Amino acid sequence: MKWVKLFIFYGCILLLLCNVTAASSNILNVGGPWSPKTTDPHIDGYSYQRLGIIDTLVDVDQDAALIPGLATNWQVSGDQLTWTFTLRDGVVFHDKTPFTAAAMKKSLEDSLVKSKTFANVPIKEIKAPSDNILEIVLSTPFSGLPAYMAKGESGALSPDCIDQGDITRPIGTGPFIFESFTPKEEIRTVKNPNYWGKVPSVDGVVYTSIPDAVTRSMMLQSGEIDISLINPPEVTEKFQSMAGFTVKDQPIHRVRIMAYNCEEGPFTDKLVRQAINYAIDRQALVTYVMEGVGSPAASTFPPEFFWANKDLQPFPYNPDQAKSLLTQAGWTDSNNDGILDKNGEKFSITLLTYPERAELPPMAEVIQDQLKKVGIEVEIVVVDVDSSNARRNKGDFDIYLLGRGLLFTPDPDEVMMTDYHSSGTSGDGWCAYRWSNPEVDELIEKARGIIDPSARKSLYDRVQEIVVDEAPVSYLNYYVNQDIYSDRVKGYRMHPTELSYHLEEVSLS
Amino acid sequence: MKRFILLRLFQTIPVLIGITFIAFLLMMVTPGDPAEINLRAMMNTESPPKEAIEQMRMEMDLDKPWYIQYYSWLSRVLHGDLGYSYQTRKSTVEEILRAFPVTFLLSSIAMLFSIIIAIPIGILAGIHPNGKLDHLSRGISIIGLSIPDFFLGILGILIFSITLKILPVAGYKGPEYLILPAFALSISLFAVTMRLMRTSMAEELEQEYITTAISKGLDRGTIIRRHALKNAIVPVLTYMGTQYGWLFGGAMIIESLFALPGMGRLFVDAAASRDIMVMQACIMVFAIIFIIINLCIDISYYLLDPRMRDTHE
Repeated sequence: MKWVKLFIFYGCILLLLCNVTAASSNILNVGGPWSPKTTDPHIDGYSYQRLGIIDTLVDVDQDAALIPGLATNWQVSGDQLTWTFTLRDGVVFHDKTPFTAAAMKKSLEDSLVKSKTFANVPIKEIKAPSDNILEIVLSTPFSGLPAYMAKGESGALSPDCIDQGDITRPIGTGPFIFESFTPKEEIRTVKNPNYWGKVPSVDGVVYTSIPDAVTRSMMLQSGEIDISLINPPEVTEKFQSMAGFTVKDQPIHRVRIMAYNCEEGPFTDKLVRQAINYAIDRQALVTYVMEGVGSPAASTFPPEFFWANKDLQPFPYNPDQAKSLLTQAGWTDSNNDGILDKNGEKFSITLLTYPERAELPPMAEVIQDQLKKVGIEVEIVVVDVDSSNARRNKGDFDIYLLGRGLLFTPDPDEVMMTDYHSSGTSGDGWCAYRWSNPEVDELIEKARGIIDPSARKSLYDRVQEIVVDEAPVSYLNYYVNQDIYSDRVKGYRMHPTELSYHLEEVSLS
Repeated sequence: MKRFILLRLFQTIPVLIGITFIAFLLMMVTPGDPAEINLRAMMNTESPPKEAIEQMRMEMDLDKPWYIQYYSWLSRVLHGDLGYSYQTRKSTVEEILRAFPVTFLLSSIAMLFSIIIAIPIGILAGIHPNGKLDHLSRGISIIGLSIPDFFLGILGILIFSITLKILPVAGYKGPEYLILPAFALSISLFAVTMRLMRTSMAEELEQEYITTAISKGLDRGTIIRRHALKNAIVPVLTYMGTQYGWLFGGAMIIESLFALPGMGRLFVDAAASRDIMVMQACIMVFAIIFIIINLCIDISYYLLDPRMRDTHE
């Protein structure tokens, strides 16, 4: 019986070790999948921006449109080369030094050296003519500049902080003050009582990095975290009906698309591409693959976004229409084997996708099934994301199924240039392949030089209309982020471009 | 004794050369310029100047044939210079030093669990084959082997963290955070160890020398402790030793599930982001752990089994 005693002895030791600390009263605990790579926001700024440690000159609102941040307004000179930002008065850094144009100049110059975010932004010089005026001089006109001033990597850091070189304590101007960071574990912040905007109601935030969504959901249940970020449908489903928790949905700037090979094969014919648009049951994809989370897509931007062409509607599911378009294009089932053919060639195609976004391969199977119903034979090829992209760039595919991020920079220019302008579609990339339209090119180029957002939007609306009609890509559905939070949490909202968690607006009961 | 250990150490050299070569090949076949990666970190800039990269390439002998590159890389590694992480711009050694203790503790606790539980039960079951305890331990082993460790982890969380609220779910903020993951990790090792100990013990007790000892009138406790156990534990030690290496490298899923910042997660993250130098370092650490363990097993054989001493001296 000696070993029984040993058992009990060790058991007691284990129990002694376990002293789970109860969640302190006014500290908000957030759990999410990611962990920042460094403590230097100018290398990798998104985490520090989302947690409200740093502010940027320009902010982004709920419709993904630009609004004032640390700059109250901005304008561009007649030659479109000098952007003038008027800075907010009375803002101080967390170390009590005042936020001035000179400090911002120093901070931005540091960003330009350290971050790859600004590699394609033609900034020539940054000037600080007075305390609250900052001028950014460009080498060529660039209407997307303010959007880049909303990126975390452009966040304002205090001059002392920049002098550290390798920044280990980011000192910003945001609603929360950085306290500590442990790689792959957590970031701790405390509230900034002197914040220029809404002063946080919580005393501080602990962000814990938990890669596994199931683990996050269990921590939520045990009360170790109050908010669990980014959860898959199989997790949120359980919480929908569970008392004490709320599941929040937010469409984000990412759309699932099928891009066609417009250079070679059956999809060089516009009629065939349009036929596919009718052959896909978009609602079924959402219902069966995404477990009802998400909505069918009409165009590249979700309708909640400022830049979306709200007149466009998702294609209805109409296999008869698809068949008649295919017949019109010369594809008929002449030998009655259930598969269409034209000039003796079978309509047999390759659909390329990748498994890193877990929903894509099952989605490919549903699409395979739907296309079979109109007489198209689909072979699915699933390879890792880099290999799939390399195949796409060589033209070794007929349809490329992918998830496409749209507003990494909250301005449509970048995505329009790379995805639909002939300079982008002719080279390596992700979206439309070897497709071009002179009117689209002209509209996108024209939009680059226009500053007024609504005037620019009308040009992009027309681009979206042409793309939907010409169908170099089919839009399937939008990504939806689902966060879960406990009933302790009040006032939490999610951001469409994921630039902020707005934790300053959250209170705990 | 000394000669034996020296000989075994000497024998690990070719193995080490093989492993370092494989790790080195990884750098050769993966795209990305090591000189540029190092400079990005050292100068803390996204795009280091071209001349500096050229200079660095020359210093690192990257312009030379592969065998000189290997030699120069190996000498850098031996001086503790494993390059920089592409992701964090920190030195790889720093990353490893942060992750290593977590996994070391985790796998050691898992090991300890299975020693404390599996060996005594295995011995008792072996002494009384087909007794109640034997059947029970067989049942536990089958369950333990068939349940995947992550599932057991989730089950453990549901019971101990959510229902009983005595253990935290996940994270790494103190020693109590390692109990559930170590338990989940130990289960398959525990199951096999217990069966192995049982079989080995039962077999040993059927040996003729045991019958002799019994007929000589030695009491049962002494026979088991002094004679049978010493022989029976040798195969169990071998198994546990090699399994320790697997525990070390195989903790990836458990580390992700329990959000522990250990070697497994470091390796997975590095692989996902193609952080070559971190991957290289992880591979070498895993390999060296294996080598050290094997060395320890051999030495323990040597101490436990006098026959081994004869062959080597």
